[in-house]
Amino acid sequence: MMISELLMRLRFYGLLIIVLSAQHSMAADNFHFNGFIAQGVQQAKDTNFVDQDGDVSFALTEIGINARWQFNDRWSANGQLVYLNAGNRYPEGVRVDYLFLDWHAIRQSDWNVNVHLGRYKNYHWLYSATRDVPHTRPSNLLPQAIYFDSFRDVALGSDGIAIRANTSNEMGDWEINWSYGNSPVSQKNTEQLLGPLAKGKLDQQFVHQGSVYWNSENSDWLLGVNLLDSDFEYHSSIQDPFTDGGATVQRLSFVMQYQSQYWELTSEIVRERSIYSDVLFDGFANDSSAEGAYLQLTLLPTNKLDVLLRLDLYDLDRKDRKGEALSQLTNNTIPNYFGYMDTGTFGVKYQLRENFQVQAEFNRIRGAGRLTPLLVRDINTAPSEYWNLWSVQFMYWF
Amino acid sequence: MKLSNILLSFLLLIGYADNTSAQADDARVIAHADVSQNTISERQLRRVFMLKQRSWEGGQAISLVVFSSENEKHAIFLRHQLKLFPYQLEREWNKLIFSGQSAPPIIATDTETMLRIVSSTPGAIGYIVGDPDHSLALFNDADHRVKTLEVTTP
Repeated sequence: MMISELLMRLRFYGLLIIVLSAQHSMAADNFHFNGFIAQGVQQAKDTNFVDQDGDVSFALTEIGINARWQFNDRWSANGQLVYLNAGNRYPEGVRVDYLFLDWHAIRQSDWNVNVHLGRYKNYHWLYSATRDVPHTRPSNLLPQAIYFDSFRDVALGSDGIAIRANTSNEMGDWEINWSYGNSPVSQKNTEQLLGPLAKGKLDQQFVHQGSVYWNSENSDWLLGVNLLDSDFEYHSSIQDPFTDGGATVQRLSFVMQYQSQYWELTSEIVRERSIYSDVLFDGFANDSSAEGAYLQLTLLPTNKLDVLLRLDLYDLDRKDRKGEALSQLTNNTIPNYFGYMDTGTFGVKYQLRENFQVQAEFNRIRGAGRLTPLLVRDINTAPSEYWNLWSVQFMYWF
Repeated sequence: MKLSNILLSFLLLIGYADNTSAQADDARVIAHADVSQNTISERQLRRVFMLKQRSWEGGQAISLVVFSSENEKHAIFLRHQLKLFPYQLEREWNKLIFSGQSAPPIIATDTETMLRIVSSTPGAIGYIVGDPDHSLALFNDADHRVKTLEVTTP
């Protein structure tokens, strides 16, 4: 615990030094910093997704500053500090988003290989690397089948090593990513995932990911595949309703995107296997696979306006798509709609200035499969099967 | 509006998108006079603009200079020379810049600024659109020099 706190502080101070040194080297070509600030309003009635009471909430704040310090042709230090508040969607607070040394190991005209050491970003999914940067997202609420909000901190990046390679040939552009590390799981996040009574510590032992992307020569087609393997351990505490145990998560996902001048079609498909042992009680075992996918059409009638239409489908257990077995397991205290979550989204994004835009969206949601806590479901989190989430957010970046 | 009309409008939009070609305005790729290369392949040019290639073949670091995304010349150059739409490049840049993988490109407000930045930044690459030979002739003198890079097919 003390070591992780110390590491956290070291990362924070490291980033602070980089940012403060900007005062002295802003004019230098080898130092760059960028940032963003976004404030919005959102409401999810009849659930605790945003707010306990389902009220209109101004908890939609995202602020970040990043810096890049290029020591020489091969080495650079990179970091980003963010403050996030999205209500109950993920824990509020300041985070070191990434902080790593970048070694440009191979730099040829048709090959580039970079090695990142430290807290690297998750580059493996389509929007994962910048899902916390508002103006880079297609919508405020990303498709929960792939980008589960409550798992955001763990999925966003990890402490360890990442290798990124890209090349181009007559077939198109290729990107190959590999990473191995782990992410700290905060107490708030543990309680969010397991339930407020969880007093123990959830640790991610490792997360091992690989992905390959292909972009056609005209950049109209993008195809990608990603593999993930990760182990978690739960260490129970005194007066803890949970027991020591573990979980393994294995994930396979595919990405498809077609881009044209006035429209864009995007889809990601995922199958995620979760294997639990103990945790809920001694001897508890569960092995199930969730499946999800979304199809997203973005219309781009002008260079300032985006209109988004999306259908996002998610089933917690592919062998129990209607959630009936889940409901029976809890003696019908938990409704079957906790076994899935399907979302229809309509969104509009308008660029008011070159670095200033507004994004508004409406989500109609059926089910509660992506609401937390995960292991011990609580009907109070979604008393009805259908619910809505709307949001408006203004964002500025530099 | 009838459903058939809506569908027809959508199909026209798609057809229009796929058949639209950029204006064939003259464009030149320019570089700092010290850059070792005199030619650049289309593929290499795309990699440079997508911030994937960061150094010249001799090892010198590349500094990319572009017009702002609101400048019509930017869109013309991207579509005509790189077969890219501005939003595609913008997204790629944002992804790299906000995940710590690249510095942002340098923004030039107009052709004169573009020429001035490229001529004074070792390793710089940029472009000019619209009567480029005239702009180059006016700019290149004893104190200011940029070179043009011939774009070759791979």
